[in-house]
Amino acid sequence: MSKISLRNINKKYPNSTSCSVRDFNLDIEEGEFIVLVGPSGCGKSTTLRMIAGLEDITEGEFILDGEVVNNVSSKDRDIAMVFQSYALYPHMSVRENVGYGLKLRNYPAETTKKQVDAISKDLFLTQYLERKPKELSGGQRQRVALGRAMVRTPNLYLMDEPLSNLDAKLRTTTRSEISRMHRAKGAITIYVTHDQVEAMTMADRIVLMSMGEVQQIGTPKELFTNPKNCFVATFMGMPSMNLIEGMYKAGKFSCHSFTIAVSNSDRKILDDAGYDGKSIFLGARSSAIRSGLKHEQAFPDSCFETTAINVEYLGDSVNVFFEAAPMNLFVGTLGTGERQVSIDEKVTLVIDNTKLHFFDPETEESIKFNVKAMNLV
Amino acid sequence: MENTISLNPKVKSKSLNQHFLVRNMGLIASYTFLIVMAIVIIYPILLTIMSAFNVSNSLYSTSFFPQNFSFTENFTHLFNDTAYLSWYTNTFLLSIVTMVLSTVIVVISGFVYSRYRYQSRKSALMSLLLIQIVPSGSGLIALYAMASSIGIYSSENATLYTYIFMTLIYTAAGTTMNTLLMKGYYDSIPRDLDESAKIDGATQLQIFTEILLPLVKPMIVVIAIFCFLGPIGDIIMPKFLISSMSSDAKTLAVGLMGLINDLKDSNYNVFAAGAVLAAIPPVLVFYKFQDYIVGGLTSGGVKG
Repeated sequence: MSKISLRNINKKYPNSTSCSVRDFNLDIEEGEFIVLVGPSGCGKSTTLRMIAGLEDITEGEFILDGEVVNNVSSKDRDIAMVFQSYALYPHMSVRENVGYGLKLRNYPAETTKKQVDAISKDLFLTQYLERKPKELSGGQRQRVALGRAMVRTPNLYLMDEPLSNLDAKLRTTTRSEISRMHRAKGAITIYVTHDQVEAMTMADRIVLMSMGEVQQIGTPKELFTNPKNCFVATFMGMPSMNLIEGMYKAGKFSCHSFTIAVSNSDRKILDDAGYDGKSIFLGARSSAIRSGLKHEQAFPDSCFETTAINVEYLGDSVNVFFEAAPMNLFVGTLGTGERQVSIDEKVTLVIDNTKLHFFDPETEESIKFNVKAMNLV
Repeated sequence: MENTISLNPKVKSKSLNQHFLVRNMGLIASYTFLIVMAIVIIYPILLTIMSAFNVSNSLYSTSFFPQNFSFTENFTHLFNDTAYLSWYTNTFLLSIVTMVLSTVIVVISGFVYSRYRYQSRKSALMSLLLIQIVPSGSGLIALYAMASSIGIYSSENATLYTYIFMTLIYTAAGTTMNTLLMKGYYDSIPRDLDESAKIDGATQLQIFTEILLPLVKPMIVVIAIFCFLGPIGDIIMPKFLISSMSSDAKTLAVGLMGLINDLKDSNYNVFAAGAVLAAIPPVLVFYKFQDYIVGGLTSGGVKG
C-alpha cells in the first residue's frame, strides 16, 4: 500500500515556450481511484507519463511512499500501465504478453503460469491464451492489456484512455470491470480520459485540467454540484450547462430574452458579494429547465416563453433546444412524463431557481463557490 | 413484338463487347507492358542457361537451342582449366562476411537513429543521405591509392589484406542507405511498445533484443540479402584492386569476365556455365526468404 504526492509539478518540453503542465499539486491516499479529465491537449496524459517515468519532470517533486522518485526509472517504480493503443507485443502470444512483466522480474515459470491462468480466467481470456494479438478483437485486446497490468501487484496502476477505442456498449461493461478490479486490488489507480461520463462514474476524486492547469479537484458530486468556474461547470454534465450573460439587480436576473427571480439564499450571496447592479453569468443545467403547469406554479417568478428549435429524443427524456438570445441555444431536458414539445412550438419554460449557479463574467469564477469556501474558513 | 425481342440481345451483346474493351483498357495496357518486361528479363536468363549446355566457341554462331548439347563439357572445362572453385569461395566468403558485418551495424545504428534523440542527430541523418549522392565509382582511384598507401600490395599476404580491405569498403557502402531503411522500419513500430516493455520492467537491452528485434526481422532479412548480393554483382572495385594478382585471387565476376575478355580466346559457353553456377546461391536465398523480401520492402521503404 502506498501514498503519492505530486508537488508543484511543471512540464516544459524543449523547443516550446509555454508549460504543458503548470504547478500540478495532488496528494493521493491509499487505494484511491483518481481520474484526470479534460479536453485534448490539457496536459493530462503528460502528467500521467511523468508519473510513469516516461517523461522527465521539469520542475517539482513526485513523492512515492515518502521518497522523491523523480529520477527513478520506470522499471524500478513498480507501476503497471494500460495504454490507449494497448501496446501489446505483436510477436508474443496472449500468455507471453500477460506474463512478460513477471518473466522480467524473474518469477519462477510455474508461478507465472498460475498467475496468468488466474487473471485470464477473470478476464475471460482462457481460450485465447495461445493466440497472437492480431487474431483478437478490439475488446479482447483491451482485456489482454488490462490483464497484463493486473497480473502484477504494483504500487499503482496507470491507465491512459484505455476505453477510447471500444464501442459504446463494450465501454460500459469494461468500465465496471475496471472498477471491480480496482476494488479487488486496492492499489492506487490513476486514470486519464477525456470523457466526463467515465470520470463521473469511476472516480473517487476527479482532477479536471485545462490548458495545463488544474481547474478543480474533488469528488464527482463536488464538481457537479459546486463547480469552481465556468470551465468546470460546462465540462461536467451532459448536455453541458447553459451559461447566459445578463444583469443582476435587486434579486432579479435579466437578460435579452427573459427576467427571472433568484432564490433568497442566492440573493443574499450575490448581494453580499457586491454584484447588485452588475453584469453576471447565470448557469443553469438542463435538468433545472422545466415545463408544465405544475412547475409554473412552483416557480411563478422564473417563467418565460420561447420557441423550441430542435428536439432530441433519448428514451426516458428529451433534450430540447430553445431559442434564447444572446446565446443561440438553450438546452432543457424534459422527462417524458412532462409536457411533450415539438419543433417550432412556443413553450413556457420554468427555471428551477434553487439549482442555479452564478459566475463572475471577468474571472469566470463561481460566486457561490468562493462564498462557500470563505464560510468554511 | 417479335422484332424487339429478337433484336434486343444482339444490341445488348454488341454494346457489352465494346464495353469490355473500353472498360479494360488499363488492364490490357498493364498486361502488355508486363509481358514485354517479362520477355526482356527472362530471355537473357534462358539464353545463358541454354548456352551453358552448348559446346561452341563463338557467341555469334550460337543458337537459342543448343546445337552440340553436352551436359558436362563446359562445366568440366570450368573446373579443370580455370580457378573457378577458388573464385567461388573468395566471392562468397567476401559476401558472407560483408553481410554479417553490415547487418549487425545497420540493425544497431537504425535503432539508435529511430529511438534516441541527441544533438546532431538530424545532421547525421542528412549526411547519410548526402553520401548517397556521390556515385561509388568516383572513389575508385582514391580507394586504390588508399590501399597501396597503407601497404597492402607490398605485404606478403597481399590477397588476404585486399579482401579485408574490400570487406570494409562493402560494409561501409552497405550501411548508409540501409541504415535509413532500417530506421524507417523501426519508426513504423509504435513507441508505445518500448514504453510498455519499460514499465513491465525491461532494460534498454531487453527492449532491443526481446521486443524490437523480433519485429524488425523482415527488414533484417531484406538488408542481409542486399548486403550479400552487393559484392557478388560488383566487378569494378575488385577489378581495380586485384587485377594485378594471381588467377586464384580473383572474384567470380572478375574471373568470369576474364573468360570473355580475350578477343582471340574467349569462351562464352564456359562463361555461361560459370554464371549459372554463380547464380544458384542468390536464387536459393531469394526463394527461401521471398515473403520477407516483399513484406520488408513494401512496409519499411516508404517511411525511410
